[in-house]
Amino acid sequence: MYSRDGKHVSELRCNADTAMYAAKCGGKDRVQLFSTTMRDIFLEHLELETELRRALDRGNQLSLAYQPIFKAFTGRQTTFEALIRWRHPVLGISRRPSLFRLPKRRES
Amino acid sequence: MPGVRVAVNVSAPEFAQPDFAGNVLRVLDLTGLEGALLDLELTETTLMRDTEASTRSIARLRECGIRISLDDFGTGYSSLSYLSRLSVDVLKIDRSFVAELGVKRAAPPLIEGMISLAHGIGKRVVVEGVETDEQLELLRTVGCDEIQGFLLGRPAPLPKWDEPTIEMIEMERINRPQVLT
Repeated sequence: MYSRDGKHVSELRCNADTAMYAAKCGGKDRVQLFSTTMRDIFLEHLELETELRRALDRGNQLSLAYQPIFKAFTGRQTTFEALIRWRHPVLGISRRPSLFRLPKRRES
Repeated sequence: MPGVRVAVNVSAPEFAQPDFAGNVLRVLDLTGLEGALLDLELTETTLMRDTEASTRSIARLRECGIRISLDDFGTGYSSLSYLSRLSVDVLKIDRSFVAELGVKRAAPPLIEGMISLAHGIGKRVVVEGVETDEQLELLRTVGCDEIQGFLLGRPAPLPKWDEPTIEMIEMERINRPQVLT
């Protein structure tokens, strides 16, 4: 919306795009206004996505860990859940919560 | 020695690939892994995207012995009728339901209800995020089938999980006195 969300056509268009992506992430048939928080989240995701692609190329930042699952009564192990760990050069090891929010979010 | 099953998380874009089931079965063929030693974990949102295609895909995988688990159960929006038609083997109850377990002595009715619902429609129940002895005991009393969590084992690289370690954990658990009687 001019002029709250941008003073120039290019800026308006860019922010409208961001709002559109946010709307699509939320599901079908939605109206979504742009916000700066939205832009920050979008940029953070973009950055993480780029870094994740780089990590995939290099290979050494990603590793597998296995968590056992046991029968509640006998204590017998039934399964190992395979989990991927991303050892980010700056942020350290990530499990699910924040960093892996990115690939998770793509599911919905 | 019978192997231990490995559970793998499948994302929505992966599951939506054309012939996802075929690809998985080809990998089994290629590696010689028995279907029964593979568990695929999918979320409700993943399965609900295209229910017809999901149902076909899952049926094909299960025919080959692959176990299908519904991950993060309780956090999505599955209707109960959809849930009963869904031919998954296991419901994995999300860790968020376990957090309060053991704060009071009785299991919260919600988790107890979820477990009996799951059993009622013929599914096994795995509860994630078990961190204390109290939680383990309460889950046992309400009939939970399998448990996962820091109490019994944190995720670790494979070399850590040699057989003696696993045996040891088992023995320790079996011999542990019951907190609730």
